[in-house]
Amino acid sequence: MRSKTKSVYKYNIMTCAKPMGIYYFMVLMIITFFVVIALFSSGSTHVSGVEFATVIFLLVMALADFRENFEALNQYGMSRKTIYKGKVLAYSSLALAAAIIDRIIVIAASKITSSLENFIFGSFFTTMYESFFDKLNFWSENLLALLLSFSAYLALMSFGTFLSAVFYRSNRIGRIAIAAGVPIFIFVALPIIAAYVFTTNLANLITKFIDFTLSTPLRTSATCLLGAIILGVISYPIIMRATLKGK
Amino acid sequence: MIEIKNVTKDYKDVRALDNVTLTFEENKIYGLLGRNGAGKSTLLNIITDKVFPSQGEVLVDGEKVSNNDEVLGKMFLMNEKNYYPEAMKVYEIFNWTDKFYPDFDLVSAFELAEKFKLNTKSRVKALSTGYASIFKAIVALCSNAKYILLDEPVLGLDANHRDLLYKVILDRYATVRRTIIISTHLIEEVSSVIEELVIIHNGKVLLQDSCEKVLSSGFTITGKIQDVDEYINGKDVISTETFGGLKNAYVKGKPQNVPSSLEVTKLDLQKLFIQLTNDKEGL
Repeated sequence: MRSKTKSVYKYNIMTCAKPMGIYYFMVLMIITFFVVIALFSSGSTHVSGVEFATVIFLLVMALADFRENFEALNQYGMSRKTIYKGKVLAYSSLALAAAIIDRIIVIAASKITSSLENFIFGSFFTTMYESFFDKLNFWSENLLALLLSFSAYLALMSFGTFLSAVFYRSNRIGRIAIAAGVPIFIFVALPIIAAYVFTTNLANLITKFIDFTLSTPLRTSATCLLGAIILGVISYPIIMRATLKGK
Repeated sequence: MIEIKNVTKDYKDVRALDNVTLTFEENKIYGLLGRNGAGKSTLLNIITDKVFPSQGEVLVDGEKVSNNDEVLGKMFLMNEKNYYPEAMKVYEIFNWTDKFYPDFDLVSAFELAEKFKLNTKSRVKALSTGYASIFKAIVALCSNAKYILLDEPVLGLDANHRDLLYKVILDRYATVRRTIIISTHLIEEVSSVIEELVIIHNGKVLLQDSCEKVLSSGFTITGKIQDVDEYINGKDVISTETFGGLKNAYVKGKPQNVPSSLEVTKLDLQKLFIQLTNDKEGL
């Protein structure tokens, strides 16, 4: 790695390390809280959302991190190409680190709480593909869960970077359109489109596509990795033409 | 050497820079002067590849700046706006600059911070306008980059700190020769620091010359209104001003046959600047 890319890589890692540390501290506190609740109550508790929470956290971090890092690194005399390269490498490392930490949390928490009859700690992804993971041994299961988490985290971080880069490049009207357009599309337009589409012949095609891309953990991983690559490639020209904005 | 070739920059309907061609030579202190909105900051941001020109190109030591890490590493722009993370502490930014600029003088940065009574444990967002300028100027001056560009370095500074900063600029320039470009509209103060003068007006270069040459291209004559009027009659007068019974006249050329009742002093750079940027005419 060239020294400038290395410096940009380190900068990205260091600026993300603190929020990640706070996030995992909170995750551990929440798990501890639920364990304590389970110890002193008769009701059963099922926790399996760590990976999903990490997906949301990494997406928000990527969304929030772009502007500040881009401007600071630009101030430090780094070219856009180096900023991009450093970010891709740093986000890949952070996605891998988060996937490993989540796996450790899932394994450790499951072992520690295994003696509690009213507390079940599981993994979001292994719960999602329960029948698939049930057939695997310990190492295969964890390796595949790790790959699945890493791909999903990287895809969401790429999406966050893409969205924030477009947002940064846009003018005021463009920003309002993105801020309002994304939730409106997801929560209003998409259900309407889906309702319309599912009454037509396209329904079978879409169902087959979703089935093909997300039916197994390996296919989901491949889809996420492909998504991350596509978003990364699209983000490149957007970042290359980004200029410093007034404050 | 920084070469700016036919650079034009348009922001929608506004032309910030209009076909600017300029050269900044090595090891000189330049004053980049212009009124508010003249295009000074745009020019500095284009030189350092932070903003793209609509037309034209910038070469540094013969190489294009765009996406060129090696060339960008030779320059440091102290921006008028703050682009450092606001939650970061001053000393953290010193340490990071040290990672990105291998020649950064970390020891001097902390010494200067002490000199200016800048608390290095303060977060950037907690700094006043004056201290934010001091902090950014320290980072820029200690970067030891070959080309240091300072955009409004004395913004919000009190007289004592302004004086100290000018001394620090000269001191660091004397220690290691480099090109320093100071963009400001506080003309009178900076005139004692700069060697070369570039005046930008409405996005165009109005004047580029040595400060000494510009100041020696004319003179100021002071005296009673009637005496001054008699003397300047038929001469190339830049401008005049009257205070009570006294009159100042800024005249082009060399002083000749000046009556003993009149006082001759050097040309006032600020007056010259005002005149140039009001009338949009060159010398």
